[in-house]
Parts: sequence; structure tokens; C-alpha cells
Amino acid sequence: MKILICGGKREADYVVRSFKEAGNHLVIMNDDEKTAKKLSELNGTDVLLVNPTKIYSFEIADVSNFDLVISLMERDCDNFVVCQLAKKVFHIRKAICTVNNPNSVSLFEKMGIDSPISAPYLLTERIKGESDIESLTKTMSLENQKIVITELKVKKGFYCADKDLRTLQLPQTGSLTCIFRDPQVLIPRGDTKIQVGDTVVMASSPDDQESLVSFLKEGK
Amino acid sequence: MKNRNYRMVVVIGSSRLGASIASSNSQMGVYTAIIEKEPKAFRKLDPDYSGYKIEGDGEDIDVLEEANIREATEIDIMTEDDNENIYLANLCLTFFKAPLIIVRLMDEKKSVLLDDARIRIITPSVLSYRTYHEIQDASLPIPEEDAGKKEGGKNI
Repeated sequence: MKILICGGKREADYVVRSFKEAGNHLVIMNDDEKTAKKLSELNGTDVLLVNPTKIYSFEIADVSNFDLVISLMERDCDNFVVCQLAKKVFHIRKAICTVNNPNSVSLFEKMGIDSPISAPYLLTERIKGESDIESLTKTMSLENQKIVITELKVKKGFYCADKDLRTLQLPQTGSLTCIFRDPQVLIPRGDTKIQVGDTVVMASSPDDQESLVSFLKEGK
Repeated sequence: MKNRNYRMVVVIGSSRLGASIASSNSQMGVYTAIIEKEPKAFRKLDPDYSGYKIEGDGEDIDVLEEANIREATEIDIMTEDDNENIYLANLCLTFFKAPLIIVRLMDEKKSVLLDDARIRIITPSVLSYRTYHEIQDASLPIPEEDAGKKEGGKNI
């Protein structure tokens, strides 16, 4: 692939190194003299010391019809200009850039930038993907992983909160063996009510663990 | 076409030009709002400017909304930074329906990134160049005889 890399400091070094190792043809532009020198020394490549948001920089770099531009400039508007110049004027097929303001990610997408990337945005998306980070389940397995013991902290909004076991109707695939309600340890019976803040301990087969947790959280 | 009379102007960037545009519109009784990151820059406004002043970053949609930009009939993008102006113009073009977006651009080559019927561009360098020639033309002596030089002579 023919790739143009614009701006950036340490991240530029990382990007340059990984794409170079993969055998791509790289053209690098950087407007900071120190960084440009360092990038060139560390990677043994030429770095153009130019402002990547100028048309003449693209002309000097001769990057028309490249496959990809990666813009790592500090300011969002500079990244936008780099990507737009690349796509509209120099017909580079795909534009990826960093976005500092996480709120701007969707704006960039709507304005035609293929892949705007924001670190805080990615971070929060990742956390959303993880089962709520604060109620992470702890697991322990017995009998060569044939039985798992799952510990789950009950948070506000969980399906099981404020329900007694009889109404809860836990699936047959697992058993709620114990509730830890600081400082007490309760052995649950049909009329035991689960409360927010409780840590419930369940035993099940590993295959059913996930469905049990989601039952307690969402009721399905 | 009664609506033609209704005008609402949002200026982004209290540069000299931005502040003058906001001041004059406000003086003419046009509903005006000006957005600027650096509150000190509001000093450039006329002392009797009576429009809205919004302190904040124009790249933030919430700040633009605060200026009631959805209702604007004209958006003037007048920060002192070309890339910021280009970004803001595209933002306004994509998300707001103002029929007229006026953008100041120092580097006229970048006007390719502002290619839309709703966008009009002010290029100070081109205007200065034109003015220069107007001044020069006006102050040149009327050539009675061509002295042989192709380029115009100096005004002494």
C-alpha cells in the first residue's frame, strides 16, 4: 500500500515503524523540525519538513492516488484539512485521522472522513463493551473447570435488585448459593430479597455462566 | 417574500474583520451574535454593539447552538486561521441550513475545500492586490508617450 503519514510525534514514530515493517511505501510529512529529524533518524526514511495542510506540500510529496492518508496533527481542524485535501484534491482513497475532541468523531464521519479516531472515545466505547466495569464478575472454577463459582456485585438497575428469590425465578441451570451483605453472609431462601450492594455467589456449569449473569442483570 | 427581510447573522471569530461585521450588522438592527474563544477579543467590537456575545469554541456544536445558529440566515466565519475557517464552514454546511456562509480565507488555493453554492469566500490577499492596482492605476501619470517600458512606471 502507498501511505501518506502527516504530523504527529511519538504516535507518528509508532505508525511509521509498524507500516514500514509491513512493507508499505510510505511518504511522511511533518511540520516540526525536531520531530521530523527524529522520525527520519529512527526509521531510516526521508521525512518532508513541510506544513501538511498546504496544497504545495502534497504537490512536492507527489502523493496523488495513494491508498491511504493517516493524519496525526494536533488540532482537529488541521486533520480535517489534511484529509479533505487528500481526498478531494489528490484522490487518496481512504482518510484516517485522530480527533482530539471526542464529541467531534460523529461530526467528522458525517463530513466524509472515513475513520476519525479519538482516544477518549475509543476508551469509553471499549468500557461500554466490557460488562460494567464496576460490577465485574469474579470467577473461580472447581473440578477441572466443570463447575464455576461466579461472584457478582448487584448494582442499581439490575433486574434482580429488590426481588426475592421466589419472584426472581432463577433459571434451573444455576444455583444462588450465597449472598454477602457486609458484614453478613446469608444463605438464601425463597423469601430472601436481593438488595443493591449485595454480592451474590452462584454455582453453575461454565457454559451457563454468561446467561446467568445476564439474567441477574437484565432478566433474560 | 416577506421573509427576505428577516436577517439573523452569526459571526464566528472576533477578529478585526469579524468584529466590524458584527458591529455594523448590529447597528443596522440585524439580530447578531458573535462567537469567540478569547474573551479579550470582544474589545474589538463597537462600544455600542448590542448583539449577543458568546464565549466559546466555535468547533463545539453546543456553542454554535447557543448562538441560535439554526435560525441564522447568514453565518460569517472570520477567525484568523484558514484551517479552522475551512473546518467551521464544512461543519456549518453539513449541520445548519443557513443559505449564506461567508468565509475568510488567506490562502486562496484552499478554496477548493469550500466548493458549495451556499459558501462565498473573502480572500484578503486578492482584495489587497486589487486595491494595490487601483491605487497604482489612479496615481499613474497618464502616459502621453510610451517610454518603452512594458511595466508601469513609479509614481514619484
